[in-house]
Amino acid sequence: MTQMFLLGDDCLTVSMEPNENKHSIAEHLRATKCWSEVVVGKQDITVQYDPIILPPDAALNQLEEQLSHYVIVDSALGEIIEIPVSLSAENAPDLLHVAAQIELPANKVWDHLASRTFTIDMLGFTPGFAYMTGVPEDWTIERLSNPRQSVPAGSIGILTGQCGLYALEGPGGWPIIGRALIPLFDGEATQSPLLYNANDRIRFAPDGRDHD
Amino acid sequence: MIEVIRAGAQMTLQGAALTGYRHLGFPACGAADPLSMALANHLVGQGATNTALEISYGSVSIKFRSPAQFAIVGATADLSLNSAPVFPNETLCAEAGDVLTIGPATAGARLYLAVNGMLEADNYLGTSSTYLPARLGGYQGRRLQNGDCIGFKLDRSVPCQTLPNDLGLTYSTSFALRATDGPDLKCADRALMYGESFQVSRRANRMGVGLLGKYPTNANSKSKPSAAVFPGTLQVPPGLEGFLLLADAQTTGGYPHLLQVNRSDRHLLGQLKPGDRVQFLRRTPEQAAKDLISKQNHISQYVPDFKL
Repeated sequence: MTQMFLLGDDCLTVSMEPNENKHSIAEHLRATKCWSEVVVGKQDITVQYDPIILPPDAALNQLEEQLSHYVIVDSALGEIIEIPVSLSAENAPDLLHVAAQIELPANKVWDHLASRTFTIDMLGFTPGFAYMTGVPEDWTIERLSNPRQSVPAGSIGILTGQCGLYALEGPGGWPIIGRALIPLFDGEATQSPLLYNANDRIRFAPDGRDHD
Repeated sequence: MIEVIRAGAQMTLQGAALTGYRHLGFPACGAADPLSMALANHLVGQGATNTALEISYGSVSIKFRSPAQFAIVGATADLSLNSAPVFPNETLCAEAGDVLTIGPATAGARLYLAVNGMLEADNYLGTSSTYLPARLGGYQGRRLQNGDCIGFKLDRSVPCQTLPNDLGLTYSTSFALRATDGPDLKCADRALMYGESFQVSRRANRMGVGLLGKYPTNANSKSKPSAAVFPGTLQVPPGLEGFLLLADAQTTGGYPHLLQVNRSDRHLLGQLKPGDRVQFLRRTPEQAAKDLISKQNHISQYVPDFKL
């Protein structure tokens, strides 16, 4: 069931039960060109509108109508993107520390990760930061006790239950276990500036290893 | 070319805001007070989002190494050109070698210096705005430092003008901001949130400003699933301090969202500085739309290309 409400003076939120189609619903809303922003949260989608063009009650009606026209698409899953990863000490400063927390030899951590497919659940926190599911469920990994002021672009972080991609340089508190060898952000791009979208699936290919 | 002699607390190049990238995690970026920047640009014949200097808290000096027409709009500060006083809110002229000195901001936080020409800046996603955390845009993605030089192409000169009195805002150290209820504000807590006089904490930057004051009990006791936040969102993390989001703020957050400063008044957020007082005035979304239309119509008469 979905429920809609006004958020502040220029946004509307549709709250929903955990929904595997939320990114495709958001894409449908974006395609209407009616909203200046369409942002997916954990359990909702928020759209922003210009109240000068569209008064609040008209915006609610529009949104309701657009949602009623949404047709569930066959493939809820996005593209598969392979990202080559550097595991050098400089690019994976916390790999040993993480290996110790999950009681695995350091060289086995990436054996596990490279055999898995991760799904981008959400983008946000910082530009292009991708929250991904797919980390082995029995791995318990804490945040860094001292977050870094700056993490290099391309860094791959990991926590209990999720891993993250830092598309751009920025502050970060996740232990860093590798770094993408290809740029994740292109500021000159005419289409999407990121290598990936929400819902895409990611496979990692650690440098110097064969990937099956 | 202009040369930074004294960069002050924070001076950056800013231009247009980003629209349509929040779902990828990109903040709005752009001027913290886009109205003041648009007015400064207008005085030198430029578009509302032409690249300009954003000067936080004043206390800077700048040397014009070539002739320029320029204008300053925003926070209150003493201005002088080669030691002779000059004034904000009007078109000014400089010769090569002239030094502009801006004193400390005494009311408001940010001044905008626009020149009649195109300042050289890095671009990404179609904007020149500096986004400091990722070192994007502006001058090598960073704040300006003493000795930095910014080139510009001088445009054909424009007639000198002065802002109408009702547009050249004079700030004080207390702000009344029109706002609507956020999704996590309980009806019973309205009186408290709209009655309290909050104070801007020392934590104030382009991401947002901390607001000290009395918050509803239990408002901050739990976090919720991450949801969209925007400039103007007042979030209350655990502790005594709420955080009011500005242009460079993140796109999602999991703290209780108590109020949303309305679009009509968001330009004022860029003028809040530590110690200032803030009170919120409650509006319904319908009232907020009327406020917005009336303010937009007023500004559009003078700056047709600026949108709140």
